[in-house]
Amino acid sequence: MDLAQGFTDNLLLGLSVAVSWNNLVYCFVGVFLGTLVGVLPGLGALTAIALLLPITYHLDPTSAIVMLAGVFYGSSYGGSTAAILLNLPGTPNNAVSCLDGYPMSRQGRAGVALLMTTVASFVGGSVGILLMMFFSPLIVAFALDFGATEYFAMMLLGLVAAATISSGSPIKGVAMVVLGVLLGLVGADQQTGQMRFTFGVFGLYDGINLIAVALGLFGLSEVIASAGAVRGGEIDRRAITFRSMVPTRDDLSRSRLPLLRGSAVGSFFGTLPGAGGTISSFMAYALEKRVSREPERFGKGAIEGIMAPEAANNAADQTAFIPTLTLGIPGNIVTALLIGALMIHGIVPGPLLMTDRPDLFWGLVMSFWVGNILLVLLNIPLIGLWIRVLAVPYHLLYPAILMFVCIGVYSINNNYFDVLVAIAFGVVGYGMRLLDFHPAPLLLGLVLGPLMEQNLRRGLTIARGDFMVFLERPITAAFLAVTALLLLWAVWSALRSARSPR
Amino acid sequence: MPRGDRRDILGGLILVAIGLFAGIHASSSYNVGTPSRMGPGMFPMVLGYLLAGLGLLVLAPAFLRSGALPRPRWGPFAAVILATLAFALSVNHLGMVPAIALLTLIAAPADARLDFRRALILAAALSLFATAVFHFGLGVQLAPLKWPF
Repeated sequence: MDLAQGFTDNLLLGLSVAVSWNNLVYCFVGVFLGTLVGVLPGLGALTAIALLLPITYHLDPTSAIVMLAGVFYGSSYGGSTAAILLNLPGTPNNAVSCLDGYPMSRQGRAGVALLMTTVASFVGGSVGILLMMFFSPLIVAFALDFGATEYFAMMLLGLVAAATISSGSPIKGVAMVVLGVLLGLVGADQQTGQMRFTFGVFGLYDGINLIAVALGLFGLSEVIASAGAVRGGEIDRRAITFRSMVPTRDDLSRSRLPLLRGSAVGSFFGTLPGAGGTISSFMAYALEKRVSREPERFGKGAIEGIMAPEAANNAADQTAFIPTLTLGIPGNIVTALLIGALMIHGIVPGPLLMTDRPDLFWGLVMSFWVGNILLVLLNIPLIGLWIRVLAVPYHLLYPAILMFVCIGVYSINNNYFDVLVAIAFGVVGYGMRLLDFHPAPLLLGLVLGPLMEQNLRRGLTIARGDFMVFLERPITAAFLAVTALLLLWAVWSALRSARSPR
Repeated sequence: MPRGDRRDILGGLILVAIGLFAGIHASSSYNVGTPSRMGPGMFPMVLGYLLAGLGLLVLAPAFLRSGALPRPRWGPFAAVILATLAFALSVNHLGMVPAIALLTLIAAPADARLDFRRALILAAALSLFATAVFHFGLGVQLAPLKWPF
């Protein structure tokens, strides 16, 4: 069968790319750093990726993405360590694992928890990768017929979905997307060369730097919010021996179904823009509690309570790449940054990516396998290393974070102006936290805004100025209809909030 | 009688202000064109007014609720912002090491556990690390030390 032959050809191509020495090293570096930032509360995958982006300019794009992706899904492996041992999640994805993971460690079962969450992460990740391998070619085949109006409507839907589905007031989320798109327009207009919103400031002629915004909005504002604040519980100093990690038969039998359910939940929610590991893990936990015959076990060290969420968030991490790589729609900030990284290398993400650069696409997919295997090796035998890392107190960590942000942003253009931009967005980011606006939709808008305008203009030019084209083309109309429904829901939700506090 | 959700009132007002500014600036300074032949000003103008409209949607319901203004942590805020500003403004004139020292020492007061002595040691350690990794290792164009005179 020609289709199957093509599929195995792609897999072999991907495998050969993924296990080349170069990419193996970068994959390892990526997942190692990912586990490191995952373990450390206060430093997340996002900051690490934003800091590594300028370094990847000199790398081959495949190696760059392999490494950055490794940081991303690696952090979910490491984040469970802090959640279990310190009752403090290393990343927001792992917040739910505190609920049953920490009680388990108080019962002296930390070793089992650590081992089983790694297993859960691997299973979840594997399910996500398999789905990615099988569904991506189908989606790409469908999307190859897309024209400019389809791209515009799809990006619009992606942004509005991300704004409304993720937590917080939907209308505020949409406002943040609009603000992000506006900020993305700062600089020279691609079509006419007109300088927009630059007010004579030379540093803005090339637009607002994505990394400076990301690091300021997330990194700096996080430090402002956390410096000097109280931290979580103490680590049990007793060494975690390998023998203590062995799970009981009861543990194993209780874990089987939660693993599958968690992987399914995570795989589904991971593909939705705006939903990701965090929502997936919450949903998986809630589902387990709902279907359990002994819901009172939850919160007191039930192994199902960590298996399902951990499988879910790792599955979500992998499936988040499906819309990113097949359609060019980022589902969360990290994939938005990765799209930004690809664009800098001159690669336009979208349905053509798979056909233009099959080595990059399939190399990345196969590197996910390599990465997940490496992560199991990193997280079980090397667990002692991570426990020692956890002992670093935050008051020594946050100046280091500030230093990384400053030097990282400076090194993009050897220009201190970018650092000023990061600081400005640090202020904005902190203000947004206080006023309950979420920064993720803003960043998504910043990345996609200029592309949206381009496609809108192109679509209208091709249609010779006829707006009806948006309703006549069925796929475009479908995307726009769903967008309209989401917007209506956002408005209704805003008006309803007048009655009671959100 | 609810006294208004002060936090969302402020948030809404800010959105309206930014939106109006963007919309008015775009329509007056750039060529807007027509919907079928969009000029550089059309997209930003529409977005600006849209943002202002969304701001109103945040603002209006807020009057019918109660809520307090959030309290910023001015101490850590000032420490972090001033520290990073110090870095940005000094790194070109004094080099990376003094900039890091300034950064660490100014950021230290944000956390009571970081007293002056510890901050000094941390600054030294970070400078060493940064010079080794960024200057020698990655080749970042940042001189460790510059003599300004």
